[in-house]
Amino acid sequence: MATNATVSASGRQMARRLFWLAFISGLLVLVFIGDILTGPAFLNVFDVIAALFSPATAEDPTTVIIVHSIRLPMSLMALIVGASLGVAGAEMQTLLGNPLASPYTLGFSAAAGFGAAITILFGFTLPFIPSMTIPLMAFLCAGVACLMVYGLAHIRGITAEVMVLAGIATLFLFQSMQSLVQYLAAPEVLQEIVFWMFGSMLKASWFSVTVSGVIFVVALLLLLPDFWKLTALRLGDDRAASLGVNVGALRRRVFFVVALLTAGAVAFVGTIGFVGLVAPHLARMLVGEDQRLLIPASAICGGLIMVGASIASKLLSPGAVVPIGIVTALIGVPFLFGLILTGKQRHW
Amino acid sequence: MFKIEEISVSYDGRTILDRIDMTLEPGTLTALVGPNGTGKSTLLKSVAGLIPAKGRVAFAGRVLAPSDKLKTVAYMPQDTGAQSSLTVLEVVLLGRLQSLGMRIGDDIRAEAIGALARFHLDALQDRAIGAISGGQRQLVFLAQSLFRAPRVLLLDEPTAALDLRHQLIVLDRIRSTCAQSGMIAMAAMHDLSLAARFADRIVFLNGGVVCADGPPATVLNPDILQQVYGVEAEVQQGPSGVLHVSPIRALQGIGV
Repeated sequence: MATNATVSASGRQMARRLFWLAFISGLLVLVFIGDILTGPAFLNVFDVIAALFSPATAEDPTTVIIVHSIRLPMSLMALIVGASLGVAGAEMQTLLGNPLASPYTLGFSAAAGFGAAITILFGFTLPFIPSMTIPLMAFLCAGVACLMVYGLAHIRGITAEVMVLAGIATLFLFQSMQSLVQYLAAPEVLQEIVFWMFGSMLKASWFSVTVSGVIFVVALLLLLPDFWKLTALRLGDDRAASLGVNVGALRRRVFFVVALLTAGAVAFVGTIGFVGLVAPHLARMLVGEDQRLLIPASAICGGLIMVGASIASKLLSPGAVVPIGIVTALIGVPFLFGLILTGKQRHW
Repeated sequence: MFKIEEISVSYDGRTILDRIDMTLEPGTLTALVGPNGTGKSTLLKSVAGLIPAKGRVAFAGRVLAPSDKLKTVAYMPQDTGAQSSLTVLEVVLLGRLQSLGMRIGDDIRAEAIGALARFHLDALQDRAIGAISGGQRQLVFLAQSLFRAPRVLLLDEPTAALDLRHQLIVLDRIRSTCAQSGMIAMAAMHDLSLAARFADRIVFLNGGVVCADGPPATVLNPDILQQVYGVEAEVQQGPSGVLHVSPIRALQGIGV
């Protein structure tokens, strides 16, 4: 029988993992506050704090406007996009059984990029909601890519191999169409397309924060009943099936959630690489593969990288904001190297 | 009693299993043997409800619906490695996946550690499943299957890729669990000497049909081995009364 010592050892491991979860959550809060305090306007720290917590009594109305209309939505958007890409990456790696998978592996972001590029090229806008044209087209094209991959996988069987093949074909298709649009575009239009592709938090607004935030919460709620099934999937399709998991149905459900999360993240702010690939690995190193912990930890790690990158994007070039998509890897790589060098040998 | 009735499986118009009938008694271990590609794994998977098949499976006189199968029958797939950092304890807990909630109580955790302790693996509970040896991994998956407390356990080549010691430990544990709890076990195997030593009964499967079925002493003879495997072999009784199979040569004219 199990001794008290062995039972308490397993409790200690869980406590260690919960500690890491709490630690990165605390770190995220600090980095988030740091992001709001940082910006090209060189505002006084105390004024920013006053504008945040008591805007009615703040002395400088300009600071209140900058904080509430620009910095807060930008920071929240960085947080939500990072969290969405972190969770989408973790689930894509789980679904495909591949540590190199990311939310972009199956071509969703390339499709979103194509949607944005073609909208910018033709310059058309939707009536009543002109500012929503690009995000909506990006979202719709990501949906089309999702249906293409699903359609192919549905015919051949929802296995990881078929999904990867169908996804890579979709990725190349949309990438080449994106290149074609860029080739056809006039220089000033091309510049706008390329800027969108970089990914930038300057496109954030309270509306985009609300939409992406709702998508993130809905996606988490959809994943909630499948936490244990997704954990079992890490043992392979056969073993998961032997434990009673309907692997095809699970893959189908989670595939749509990943597509939703990815489209919700990239439609407003553009393509942001690296986060969706690395955040799940960081999370896995800290809390293991139990999805009850891995999903929140991936969201927090994604948020940390994005918000950290947001600070860096404001500090790199004083008085300006470098597109965040350019600096996400600069922030994430040292984190990852640190964990690889200090950690034991691990299986992804 | 566990009854397999008229199980048939076809792929692309090719018959893999043709109306297999079998009745398995409580507390027994049955070895399912036969050449490669003869349908052993397919039979186990179809009985477990993992692949579509014609026919019925009944336990204690009641035909099992797919949802009942999950509660009654556990299937342990062949070991193909595990590149995962899930811990050994988490793997065992997954045995009761259907009843796990967001919080895992101390009682179920202690029970899972107890399942590992039966194999002296409780000290490995925090190790990654991908970081332990193949023999230890197979024992962990056996502990996971037994943690489900199944009435029927189906095992696909449980001793493949195991060293001699672990082969004996795995089969001894399955047999003792059958004897103690009345669990019914059926294992697809290749090692006929191990089958003779541990199984109460050997079922020879060839070309999707049962071609011999009975206690080892009855069915394990050179004629059946020649008919099923196309080999010349000797079957000898060891000092402890256990039969031992020595293959001598493959006969000409038998398809490979």
